[in-house]
Amino acid sequence: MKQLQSSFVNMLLVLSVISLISAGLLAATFEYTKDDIAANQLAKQMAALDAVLPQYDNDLLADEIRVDGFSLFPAYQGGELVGAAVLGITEQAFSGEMQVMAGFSPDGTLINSIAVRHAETPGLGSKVNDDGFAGQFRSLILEPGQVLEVSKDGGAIDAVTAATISSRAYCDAVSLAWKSAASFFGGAQ
Amino acid sequence: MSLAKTFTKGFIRENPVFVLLLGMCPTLGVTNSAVNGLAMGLATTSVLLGSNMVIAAIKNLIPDKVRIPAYILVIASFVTIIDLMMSAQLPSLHEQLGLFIPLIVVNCIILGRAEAFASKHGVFESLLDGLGMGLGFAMALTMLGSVREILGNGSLFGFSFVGENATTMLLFIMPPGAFIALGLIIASVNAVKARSARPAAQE
Repeated sequence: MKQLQSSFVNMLLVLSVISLISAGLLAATFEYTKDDIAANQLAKQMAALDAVLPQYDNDLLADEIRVDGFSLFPAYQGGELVGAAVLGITEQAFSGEMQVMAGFSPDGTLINSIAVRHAETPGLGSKVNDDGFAGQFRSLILEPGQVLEVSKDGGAIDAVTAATISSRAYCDAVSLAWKSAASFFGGAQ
Repeated sequence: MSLAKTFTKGFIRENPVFVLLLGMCPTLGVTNSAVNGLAMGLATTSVLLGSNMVIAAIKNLIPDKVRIPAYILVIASFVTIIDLMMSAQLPSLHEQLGLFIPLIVVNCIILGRAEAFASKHGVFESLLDGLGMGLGFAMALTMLGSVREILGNGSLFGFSFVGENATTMLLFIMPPGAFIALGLIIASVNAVKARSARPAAQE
């Protein structure tokens, strides 16, 4: 078959047809994948919440509230407040923003924390989720208004080797989360 | 060119990374581990396979003056489909490769093969070309990722073979390490090629 001439009508027609077919294919793929993608995101969020909270029986996602601009998920067991998870977000990370899910019990104990979204250097900053670093935060008892810092800044947290900025960001996110949780617990009592 | 050569030229002789030096952005960006390199390579292969075949099939319907926008439309559609599929089926991998998947659209290899090969050959040859080039790209990225992961993290495909607190050459998983490792691999490939090209000269 001979090549189509580059006339105005031909060019317009061909590009329009290709665009239409592309749009149709993309719409179909989007429809086909959107449930799975939403389910993946939900599963990830629930896994993070389960990792940082004690046993609960309420629908966390339905009970989500905003405190100081952060998402806070209060956890209830038999109607009693047993803890709250806060998604602390900081811009202080080495690259992009870091989101840390931190769970607190009403008496001010940091139950557990996990970086759910970050863009830190693999093998360096990404080690904030290793037990050697994240384990330091487990079961810490915090005072209202307390800010966590790495040892370089005079705090009690040992930073990940060669990733002080990432470690600082993690501390910052947890501190921000604690601030929201403390004001939530303060208001609840 | 024979069909077998069309397929195999992408591995060594015209390897996109080591010889043509195309697609350097994902090559240097994602290869901090072998798994990332392999995944990026395979994602690129599927896009290349799809775009090469479609472009070869419709090449006579595309007026010459608008061929580049037409190719980009085809390529971008395939990339977005792969992006959505990975996000649905392989969420953790998709998260690691992140930004680099959409960037496959502007990978020079894909447009390069469309322009240099698929627009001049039949569907079946373009399929072989896309598969060969794609797998050559995947192989190169996996090699680079392996070297960087072994030196920088003391592991391969996630299996660590050094102790918990061992000192590794962190440089290699950082961006400068990508350039250094790539340079060393290209030098080795060139040395091997030079040796096999004129065996008599070595005497």
